Amino acid sequence: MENKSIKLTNLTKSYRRHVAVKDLSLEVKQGELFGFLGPNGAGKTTTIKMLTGLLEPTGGTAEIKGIDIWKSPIDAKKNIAYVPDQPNLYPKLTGWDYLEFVASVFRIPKDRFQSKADELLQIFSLTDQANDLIESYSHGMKQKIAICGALIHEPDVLFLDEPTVGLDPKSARSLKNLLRELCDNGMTAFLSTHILEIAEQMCDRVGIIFEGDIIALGTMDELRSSGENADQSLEDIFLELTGGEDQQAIISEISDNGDAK
Amino acid sequence: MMTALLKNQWKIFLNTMRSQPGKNYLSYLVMFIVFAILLYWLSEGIWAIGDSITKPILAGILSYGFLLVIGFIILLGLPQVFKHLYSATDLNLLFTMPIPTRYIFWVKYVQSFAGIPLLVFILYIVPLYVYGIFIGANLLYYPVGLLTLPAVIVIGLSIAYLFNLVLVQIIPASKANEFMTVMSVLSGIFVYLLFMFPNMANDRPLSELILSGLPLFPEWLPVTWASEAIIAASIGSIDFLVPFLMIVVLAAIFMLLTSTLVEKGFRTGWVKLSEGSGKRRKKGITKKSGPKLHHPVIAIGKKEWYAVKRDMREWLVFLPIVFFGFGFVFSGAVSGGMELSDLRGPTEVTWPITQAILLFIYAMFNGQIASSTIAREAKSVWILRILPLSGKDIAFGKLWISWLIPFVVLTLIEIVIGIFFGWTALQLISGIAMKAVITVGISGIGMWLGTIGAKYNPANPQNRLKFGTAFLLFIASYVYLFFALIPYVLLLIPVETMTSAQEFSNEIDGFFGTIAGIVYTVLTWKEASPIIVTVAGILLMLIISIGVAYIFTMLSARKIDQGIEIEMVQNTNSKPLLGKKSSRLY
Ligand SMILES: Nc1ncnc2c1ncn2[C@@H]1O[C@H](COP(=O)(O)OP(=O)(O)OP(=O)(O)O)[C@@H](O)[C@H]1O
Ligand SMILES: [Mg+2]
Repeated sequence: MENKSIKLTNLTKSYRRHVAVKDLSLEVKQGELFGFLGPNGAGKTTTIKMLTGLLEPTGGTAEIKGIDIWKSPIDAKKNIAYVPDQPNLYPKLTGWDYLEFVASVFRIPKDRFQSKADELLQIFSLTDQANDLIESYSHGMKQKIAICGALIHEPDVLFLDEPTVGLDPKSARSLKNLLRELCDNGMTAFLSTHILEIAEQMCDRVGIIFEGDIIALGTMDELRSSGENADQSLEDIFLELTGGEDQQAIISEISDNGDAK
Repeated sequence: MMTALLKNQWKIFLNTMRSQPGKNYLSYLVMFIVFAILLYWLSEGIWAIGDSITKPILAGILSYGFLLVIGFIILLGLPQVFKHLYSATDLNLLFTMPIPTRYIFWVKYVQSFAGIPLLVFILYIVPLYVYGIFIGANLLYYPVGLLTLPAVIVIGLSIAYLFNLVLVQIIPASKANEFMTVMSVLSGIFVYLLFMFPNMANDRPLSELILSGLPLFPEWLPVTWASEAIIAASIGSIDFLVPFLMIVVLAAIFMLLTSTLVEKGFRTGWVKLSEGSGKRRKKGITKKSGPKLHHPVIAIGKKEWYAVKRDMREWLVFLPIVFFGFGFVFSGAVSGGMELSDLRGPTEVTWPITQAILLFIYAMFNGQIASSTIAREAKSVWILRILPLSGKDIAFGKLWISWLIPFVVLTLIEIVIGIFFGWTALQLISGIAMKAVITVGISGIGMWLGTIGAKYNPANPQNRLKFGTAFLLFIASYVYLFFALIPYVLLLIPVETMTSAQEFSNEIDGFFGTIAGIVYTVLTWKEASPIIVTVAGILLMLIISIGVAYIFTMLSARKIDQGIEIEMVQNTNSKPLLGKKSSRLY
């Protein structure tokens, strides 16, 4: 019980008639780095938003460390942080102001804030731009300051929605290493991504969602052994489960036509 | 090519209409009914007074009316034009396609007729025709009216376009964000001068001028041509032809003029604006004093303060002060060499009058500033939602700053005025303290209304309330002010007026009689024990304003906890299925 960091029970979300997430049940243990995969529009962002209290579920419950985020939002939110897919931050704050704001809300002691902020800015090479307005940041820089804001209060559970989109290779590598290290120290991370190597290399467990349903769940080894041959890559598994053959056929048809010309 | 573009716009329009939630249709219906009633009243009015409108009076009304059309379209159409020309996101796509800029421009031009110009057209053509039927005008009247009005509208709209197209070339790219502000200010001054014109040229009030039937404007002014054309047509005189042709040709010239600026103003202007203000304000090394962490409520207020301080557009709220000041000096100058120092009267007169004016201004600002803090969150709402903050923290955080900003600005002004008029320190301090207390209530009400009617329009970020709510805010601020001031006013009324209050209450009954009766009663108390009544009055005022502020802030807090809908106005039609999207805060 104690080490269940994230627990969703029959979580459902429908937009008018369209059901985006269907009856999702899932548990993530403390210290686990969970990768959430699925094609575009599968329901990843929707699920994460329900888990972070941004989107009210149509049915089911979402618990963070045993606290229902919809019943006791403030208590649950004290433990979490979120990095959205679109880094819409306060344009008129500087990066540093933003970190100060988050730290003020979490009531972090000054000295701890100073050292933590310096460290994070250093890791993501933002130290020089910390005093610029966020509106002047590039997409990747906004993304990075959002990550810094999420990590500044050392959350127990971190949600990341496609965090590597827009990051340069160096920052992406820093993020990956940092996440792995934090999770090894007991933080729980729930991240959605389209980059299968990330899931393959660094995630403890992976879930694949397709049209609102979890269609595969387990460690990489478990996923492999459930398939036909054991040395399949995650890409093969993913495409097999989410049905990429039709598109594949069309593509080869196009190239055939091209050849015939 | 043009037809393809227009057809596309039409499809987008249809889809947007189709994907609206049901309640929007209802509000359209309500708007339509209100509009219809308005038109009906207008027509009825014309029917009633039609007989007393002589030809010279009609000429005055028409030419002034046309001037109104132009002014109205410039003022209200300007942001729309800006949106069409520079901030519609479909431009991104259109400019990368092999379409001549000219075509894109004219599609936008045609599009901008739907909106204010169309509304103005209907609002004018119906009364015009009703009047025509009433006087049994010649058949010529109708087509001439039907063509003259659009010509005037085209002139107004073209001026709005010219403003955009010219200014965009003058303003440096780094100031792109302030573009709208500069433009609004300039166009405001332009329209202001336009309307001052008949006042300046004559020394009689406008209404008198129109009724006397004297010519309002000189012959050479286009609005005179338009009215001449219509009047001549109404009696079937062929004299209509020359002024009519003149106004049509003028409209054509204006359109041509705008089209010459398309290449430079539209395309390059768009490029310049989308390059944006890549402000990289290096604020030096500010970290030397160490990080500044505060209580969450303070931190929220501070974040709002930065958003206001660092965005020139936010200061637009205070623009009316400038106009007040401008109008003040201006009217002083016009009314014949009056010296500013002549205004210095006895402080018993200047003090209450200034207090009343300042309260009036506070009522205008406080509610607006407080309500706009909610929709300011716009796309960053998720931050407040994800943080462990209660609605109460957020509401109070936003309340204190939105009360403080106008307080500081207006208190500075008040001190200057106070020194100028030579008020005593007691007058100055008591006035400031009184207003400080009373205005919290307005901020509270404003914020609550902000939580119900939040709207965010990226093309016009200062417009943060839905129309109905903004109207409600306006009314509520003054109603509140009225009630909160009652105990205060009672304190001010000297005991000597007691007898007249008594007579008054004896003479008339009903609402005013009752009020006079109450005033009388309070004054008798005041005579008996002035100190107790004064203390009680101050306490009552405190209770009313703090109470109102508290209640409404708590209501806002609850609303924030429940979830606020910020209506996101999509500034383009390029995403038809998301025509209006709400984002929720809590
Ligand atoms: N506001 C909305 N209104 C209606 N439907 C929506 C809304 N937001 C999302 N959806 C639908 O919900 C489904 C899941 O969307 P979601 O954003 O969760 O996908 P995703 O897995 O994050 O996709 P991506 O990989 O592209 O980010 C989609 O079918 C989408 O069309
Ligand atoms: Mg997504």
